[in-house]
Amino acid sequence: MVKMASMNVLLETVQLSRRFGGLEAVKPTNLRVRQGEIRAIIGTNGAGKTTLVNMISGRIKPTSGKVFFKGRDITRLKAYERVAIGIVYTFQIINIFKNLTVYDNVVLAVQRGLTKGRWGVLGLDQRLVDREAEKILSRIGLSDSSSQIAGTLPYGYQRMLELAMALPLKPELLILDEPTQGLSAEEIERVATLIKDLAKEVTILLIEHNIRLVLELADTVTVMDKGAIIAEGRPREIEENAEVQRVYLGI
Amino acid sequence: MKLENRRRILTTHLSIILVLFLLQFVVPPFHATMLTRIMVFATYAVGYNLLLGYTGLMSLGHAMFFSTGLYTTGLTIYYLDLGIVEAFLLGILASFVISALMAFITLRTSGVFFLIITMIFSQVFYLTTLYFNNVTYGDQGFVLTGKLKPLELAGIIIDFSSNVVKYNFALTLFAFSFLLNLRLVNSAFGRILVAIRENEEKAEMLGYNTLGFKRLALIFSGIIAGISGSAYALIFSYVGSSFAFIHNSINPLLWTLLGGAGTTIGPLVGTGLMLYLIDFTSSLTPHYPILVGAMLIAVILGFPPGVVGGIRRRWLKWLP
Repeated sequence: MVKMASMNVLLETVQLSRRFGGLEAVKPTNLRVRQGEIRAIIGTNGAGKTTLVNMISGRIKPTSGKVFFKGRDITRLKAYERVAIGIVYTFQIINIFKNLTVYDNVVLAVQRGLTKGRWGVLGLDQRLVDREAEKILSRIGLSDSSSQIAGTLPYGYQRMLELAMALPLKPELLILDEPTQGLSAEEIERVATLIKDLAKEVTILLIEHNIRLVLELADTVTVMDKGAIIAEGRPREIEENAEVQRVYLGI
Repeated sequence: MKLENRRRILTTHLSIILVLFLLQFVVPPFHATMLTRIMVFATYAVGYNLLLGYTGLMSLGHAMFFSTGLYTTGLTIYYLDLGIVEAFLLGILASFVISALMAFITLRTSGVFFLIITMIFSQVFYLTTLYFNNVTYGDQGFVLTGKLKPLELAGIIIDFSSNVVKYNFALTLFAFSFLLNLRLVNSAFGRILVAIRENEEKAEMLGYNTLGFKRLALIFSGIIAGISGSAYALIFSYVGSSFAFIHNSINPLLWTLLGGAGTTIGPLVGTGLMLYLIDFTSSLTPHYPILVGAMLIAVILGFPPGVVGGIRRRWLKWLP
């Protein structure tokens, strides 16, 4: 794709590593994600993908190394502070407010997105919040279910809701941790469409097991194995890489 | 939330306050005093519920916030002859300071550890009131009767020894905390607290500084508890260390659970039921706590979300 070559580096990790006791979950890793791309990270279970993105989103602290976002060292920022500068993470297992209504779920994201600063949320205009929430709900086709308890939605819609809740936060880097896990083929199609749609505006870091989806969506694919990056390239190159086929595709 | 619901909610809450106001003209003096006590303690429960019901934090240290208000107001009147207004405001200020301090210390923990650490601090406070019994008169306490200077407001003399003044003072504070609580929980702030209660991890990944909001909730909760403590000293003219004891931390927990944690009306209902229940059963037998305990178990088993919580679940889904 033409857009890749000219783009700047949005996210960079330098010798970023994490050790859990005796296990080196992520060996010192250098990852560069360019602005505007869809970057997929693939690898077997336990390859360190989720640990790596958790260090990027700030949910866990690295053992060593640094994370740079738009050239700024953000290694010491807390997770909620990283959300404020545009790094948004969606969980591997669907993580929404299951006991609250669909509307409340969306509003919680909307009111955060509309405020600047830590306490700004305390003086928000509710009508503005309502309007924005309506927009998001209609974008994912849940306007009619807004008063339904989120946990009672079909699984695929819960995932759509979770993805939709990332939008109002105005992410620049959206980290999607296995967004199609447990979804039916039809639901996967809907999520894929939404991801393509999102990619027009934001950079996406996608962890995904579904190879077909990765090949369809990603601009660049990074392959991890045993805590280290073993290959990186265009989807076609990765598909044909012998080392990748050996450890990951099992061929 | 729909506009129609908003109106219905506000009407319900204002009606409750109106009923409480009108009751003083019809009930006999004994029940007027009961209601005064209920309104003071319901204020306490409203503060407690903000933390337990909305933020999902169970504290066993609220006796400290209550008695900070109680002692600050009581001691400054007793020893320094302060006026009612000054002593009351100092009580609020002191409970702010103590709850802010606790917010920064205890919220490093959560769950059962939070429960234990708040209880420990509160017990230290209790033992301190006993240790300085030459000042506080410890368990025995001291009375403010005759020490409360009448207030003069725009030519009207307000005398705190009058039951009418007591009733309406308690009502004012209750109405204030009741409506403030309603406003808070229906705002962006309240929604964040509920989000923290439901799923703190997700709330943080939506970009909320969850620790900061929990601190804010604890401070609000502590101040409201302190206000009710100060009011207790002024209205019942008694200050004693039994209010700093753990029983007085468990009380608002029980009232809140009984009435319905996470409902705006629950604390009032729970406090009212419990105080009348104790009054009624204690006239039957000196072993009334057994009866009260049995009834509590029955209610919690039959109505796990509490009285108002159960009503909301079954019938009135729009209740906040």
